[in-house]
Amino acid sequence: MKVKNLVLVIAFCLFIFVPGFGEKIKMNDDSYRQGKLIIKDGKCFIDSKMVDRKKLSEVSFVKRVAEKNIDKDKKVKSEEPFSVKEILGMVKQSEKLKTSGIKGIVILDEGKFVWKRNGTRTYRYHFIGRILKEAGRSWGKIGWGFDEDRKKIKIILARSISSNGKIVKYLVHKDIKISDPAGASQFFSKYKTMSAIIPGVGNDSIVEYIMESNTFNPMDKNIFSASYYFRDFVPVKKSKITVSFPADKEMYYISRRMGKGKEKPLIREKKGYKEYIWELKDVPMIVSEPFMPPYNQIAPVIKCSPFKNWDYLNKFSRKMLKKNIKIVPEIRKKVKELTEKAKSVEEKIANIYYFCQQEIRYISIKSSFSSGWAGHPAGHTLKNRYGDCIDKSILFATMMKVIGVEAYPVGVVTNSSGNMDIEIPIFDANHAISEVYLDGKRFYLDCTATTYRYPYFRPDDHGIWASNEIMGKFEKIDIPPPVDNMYTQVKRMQVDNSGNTVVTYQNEFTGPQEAYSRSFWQSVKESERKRVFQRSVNSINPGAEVLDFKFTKPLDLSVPFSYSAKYKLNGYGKIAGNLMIFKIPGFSRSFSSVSLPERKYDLHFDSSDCQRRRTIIDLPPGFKIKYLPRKIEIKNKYISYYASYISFENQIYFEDELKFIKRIIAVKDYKKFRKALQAVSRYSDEQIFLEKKEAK
Amino acid sequence: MKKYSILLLTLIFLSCILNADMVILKNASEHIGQVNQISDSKVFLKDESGKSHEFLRNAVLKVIFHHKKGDTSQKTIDSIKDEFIKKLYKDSDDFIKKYPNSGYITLLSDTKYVVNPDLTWSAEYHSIIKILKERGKSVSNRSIYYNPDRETAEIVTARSIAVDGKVYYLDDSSVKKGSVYSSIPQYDKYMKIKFAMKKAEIGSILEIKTRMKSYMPQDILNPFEFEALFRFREPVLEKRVSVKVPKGMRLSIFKRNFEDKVKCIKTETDEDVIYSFSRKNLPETESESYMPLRNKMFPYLMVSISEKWDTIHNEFARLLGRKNTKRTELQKKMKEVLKNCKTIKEKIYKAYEFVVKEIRYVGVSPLMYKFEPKFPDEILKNGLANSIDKTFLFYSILKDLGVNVRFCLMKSKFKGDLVKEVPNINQIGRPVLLIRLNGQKLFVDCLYDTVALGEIIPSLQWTEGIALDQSLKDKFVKIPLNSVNRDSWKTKLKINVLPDGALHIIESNMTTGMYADYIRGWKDYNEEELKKKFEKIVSGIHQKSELIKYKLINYDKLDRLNTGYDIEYKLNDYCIKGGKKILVFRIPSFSGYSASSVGKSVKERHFDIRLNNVSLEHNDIEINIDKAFKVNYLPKSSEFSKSGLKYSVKFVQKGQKIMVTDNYEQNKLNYPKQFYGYLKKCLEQKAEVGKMWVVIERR
Repeated sequence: MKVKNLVLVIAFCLFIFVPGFGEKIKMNDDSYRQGKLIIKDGKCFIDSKMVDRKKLSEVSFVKRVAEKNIDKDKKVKSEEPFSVKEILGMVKQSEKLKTSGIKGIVILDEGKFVWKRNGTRTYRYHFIGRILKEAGRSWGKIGWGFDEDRKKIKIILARSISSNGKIVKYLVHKDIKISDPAGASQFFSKYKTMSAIIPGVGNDSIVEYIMESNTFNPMDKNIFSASYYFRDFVPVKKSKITVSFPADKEMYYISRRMGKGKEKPLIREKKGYKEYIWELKDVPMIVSEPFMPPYNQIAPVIKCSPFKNWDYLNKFSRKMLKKNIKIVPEIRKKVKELTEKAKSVEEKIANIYYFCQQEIRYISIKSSFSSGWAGHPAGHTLKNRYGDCIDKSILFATMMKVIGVEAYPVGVVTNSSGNMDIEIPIFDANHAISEVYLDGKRFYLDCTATTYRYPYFRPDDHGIWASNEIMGKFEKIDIPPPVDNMYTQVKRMQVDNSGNTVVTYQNEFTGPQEAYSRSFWQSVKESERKRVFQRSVNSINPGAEVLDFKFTKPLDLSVPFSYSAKYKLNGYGKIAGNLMIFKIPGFSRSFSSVSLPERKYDLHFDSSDCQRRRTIIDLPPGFKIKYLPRKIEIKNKYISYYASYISFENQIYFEDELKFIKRIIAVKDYKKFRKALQAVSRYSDEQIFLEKKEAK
Repeated sequence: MKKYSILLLTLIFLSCILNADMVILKNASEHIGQVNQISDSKVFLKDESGKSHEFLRNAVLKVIFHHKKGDTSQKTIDSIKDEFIKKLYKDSDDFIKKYPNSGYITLLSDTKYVVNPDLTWSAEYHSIIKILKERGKSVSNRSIYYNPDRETAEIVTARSIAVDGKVYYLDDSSVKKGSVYSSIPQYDKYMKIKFAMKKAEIGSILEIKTRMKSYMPQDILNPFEFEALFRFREPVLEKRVSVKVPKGMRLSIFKRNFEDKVKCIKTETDEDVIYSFSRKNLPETESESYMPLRNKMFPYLMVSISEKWDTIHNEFARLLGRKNTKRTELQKKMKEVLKNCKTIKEKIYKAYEFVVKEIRYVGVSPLMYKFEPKFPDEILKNGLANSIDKTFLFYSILKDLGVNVRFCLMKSKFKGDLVKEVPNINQIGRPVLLIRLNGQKLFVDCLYDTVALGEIIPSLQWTEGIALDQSLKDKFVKIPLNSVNRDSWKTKLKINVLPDGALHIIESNMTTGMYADYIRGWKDYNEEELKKKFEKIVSGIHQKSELIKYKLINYDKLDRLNTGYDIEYKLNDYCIKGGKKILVFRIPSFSGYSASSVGKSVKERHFDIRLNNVSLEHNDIEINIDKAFKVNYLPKSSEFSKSGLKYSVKFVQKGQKIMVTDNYEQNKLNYPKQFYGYLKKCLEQKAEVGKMWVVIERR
């Protein structure tokens, strides 16, 4: 009762103190109206004028300050912190960073976050870059995405300066465009973009711009975070970040890879606010390498939060997540249908896993932070038969609840995108998967796929942190053993005296390799599979013929996927004088991961891996073995490999097994690792030499 | 009874709010349901379980109203009123059974165009599709594109009929209207409405009806024009296209491969004429390598309001004249750029270099923006331009230099042949310039900063279009096909086979045409990246390789047609041991030869052959065998030549030297399917060479 009264009083106060609502109403024809929307007895009114409800698209209740009338032809230069002369001086100082062929040098890369006492916040970014060739001109294209109900974006300064400083061209207001980007077909969001092209940007220009975002309507005044990365794929003269906090609030931060003495900020107090400043100078550029760690694992970074621990953030998202994990009759019915014939709990989980993967189509609809972070109600996803990663993991957790299994949607940063910093409480996840508890064991499943057999899940989820906000804890996801991501091939070759060879083989898989293979074959029309085999075998040996092939169903996840084929390679054994030379078809190993003689960064793979092959070769009657490759065995902490050829009567038996044990190869061990893989690759080039038997 | 009534009421309620609105609060929480009241102080919502919620108006961030698309009174298949559609659902089973491998089947594709007397027009697209496989689900994500300056677009109906017969309607929650080029403000016009159908499962039937209307009358630069194909990758039960025009309005209609497959009917009323085209039982199409364009192989229709090429030519020429003003800034800039140039040739080159390097190309086709170019000074100021504007800027510069230049609009090879019978500008959206200098004719494509002056990329060779600004007699032009030397990759290798079985190689590569464009693209690498690029190249030849040195040649010079690189490297442990004395190796340059594209047998080939380009690949190799070895076996020389397709390889031994020459040429683009056997033979012969061994024996 008391609460109700309080609400009434607040409502009354608002009624008194807010003189009318200037609501922004979007109509279905994309026009906007300003006014007050009332819906009563099925009728809609804008400022007392009746409108057809069908014509309403959305209404924003956000109070807006009227935009100042800006002369559209006016230059965008409300501030100019540096004169052209000063900028030319800065450019001159950066000359020593110039190396051959670089697209440019970042002269200034400066950000400033201000978290205001009333919970609103601003972020300002100031960039100065010296372009040195065509590719650097992308710096002249600026743009930010934003939610117009919460944020305002402003370009404060945007100009290009010729290298001699004589020509300065400013962006004008009329060339700034705010639009709704269409985006990719599976993604539906409410974000807008502000974009502009700075005029006069040439291949040796200097580009300068300052942009500012003002979050005037934060979803929670207490939630704030700031992250800043300090390195680029070009040299950076000066990179600086300032984070301004109310002086009476505690600020927590982490800093990584900042270099000795640069980890801690300079702190200064100013008008009731504390400013924390980090600055790096003459930052060397990143040079790309194959299989390098994601950018955010190599660049120096600082991350700040007002929270000492995760309690507040977990509570915030827990509430949203729990609201969506709600069993409705349709879910109960679907679970019953999926599990009634299952003989065990694991089979039930598997059936639900397959349903969420294959029957919930990937469509991502983000209306605000809530659906972005915590998805939609499970019943909604089931009804629409679509959803994104968080929607799928919420539906999965809800369906698990029906069968009495404890499961949670958990946030992750996929290993291809970086690393979740669990030491600093800020929202940071790019994917959601499922954490399951069964018989005292914890394991993970990822419904955002269509071809993973239980209990396998996507390799970009391996070896990372999972954030369970409902339980309020983090757990590390293990990297599965190599045999859980395995490809096995069993082959038989029959070679005749002319070198013609008939090959039969069967391929079997586990884990991600199984999922990839299923995914590929399901995308090929059944009637076109022969063509795919024909392409493949004709690349092994021209003129090859496919004789037969068989598949298990690629999308039937209840049985392991395998396929077999039979083909003929005419003249495969190459006759060179009295020799016949050949190797096992398709047995070539080349590793692009070790193409560089030296590296600066660790090698990053998705997961562990195993490849196993067995082959029996029936030799042609007119030939005898002249040479067989010798046995090989390599073992270190990253890989293990063995292979051997054994001859027995008129046959050769070959087997090999290559295991990648770890996901990350430390750069200090790279040369050793490379040498090992070079040996494996070289071994795969080895040939079998047969010699014509002498006529008796 | 009461219990059932409650259940019924609940069901009715639930079906009502299937069309769910969304209330988003300032604290970011979202609530889905039916917004049934918004008062002065509160927003009232009933959620999906029927529970009521109230929110203070000032706690609400926004309310989003989601409207369903279509007549939502039809909730099950039985309640669908359209008898034709019902019949289609029921009678299509036999047809569906014929295509067990298809991802989806289109049961009906019906497009109706109407041109009004005031030259505005409308189009209604109606399709009914059944999903048959997982891979067919992609058909449930749809898009409509339109130009809002001239057109409107809307979704009329979009519903899925699930396997259980229930009908699910699309609502606004999965509809987004957005700009296609939002990141390029200068060309941001084209819009897209994308939508994701609900309940798109295997067995679901999707019915989609969309509509476009032009509110501006068609004109020469924005013509009413459409094309239709009557066969696709997936099967179609029935395809219909009709166009209704006022009596007296003339249409140009072009039909290809119709034979008796497509039914054509002309119907006249007092006021209108309707042309209808339809085909039933359109089979699916299997993909093949080297396939011709679909509009060449299958029944194809092109229609537009009758116009003359002369009128298009004159109108566009006048437009160029009008737009070639406001260029004082450009003239100033050119004065600066060309200040040290003495001859007209030098000036043309410098201006070309300026346009291709300083004006960034953005791939927004004139069909998605407009044919009318911007003023030269505006293009210069933007620093970026689409094909029309970039070409126009160069045209304007050349005009000022007094060069005899014509602006040409070509039909790109990707779009098929120019259909002269249907004059309309939409066919010819790819601009180039035609320069006459000292009696010589030169086509110039100025979009890319990797293309040398006067070089023509494969997609423009052997294409037709119109050239403006001169006598109408020569209005049609055709860009010639390159000679193979203009699209070539020639390599000279000196290989030393070392006593330990390693190969030391000095390689010199010289390229022209599309191969040179590829190498010029490496200009974007910095020094370290370029080194890594070469390390990757040699590692790709052999994993145990060592890069010794490398050098790019002419890669940043656009006045020369050729570019290339020299590289020196070592392939350690390259030769394969075959016992104590025998070593074998393959020629490293031939390792990439593959016959995978001609895996299909001759008798299985369905379609004619279309090669993308003419080309020449040539290797001159000198192999020096260390004295420790003698040559035991050399592969045989071979040769193939048929109708412009040639391959030859020659192995010659001179003491410790082996000379190898191989040469591959594609001189023609199109062949009948009967030629497939020769193509297969030629490529297999070439690939076979890559598998052959040179055998050497330790003395």
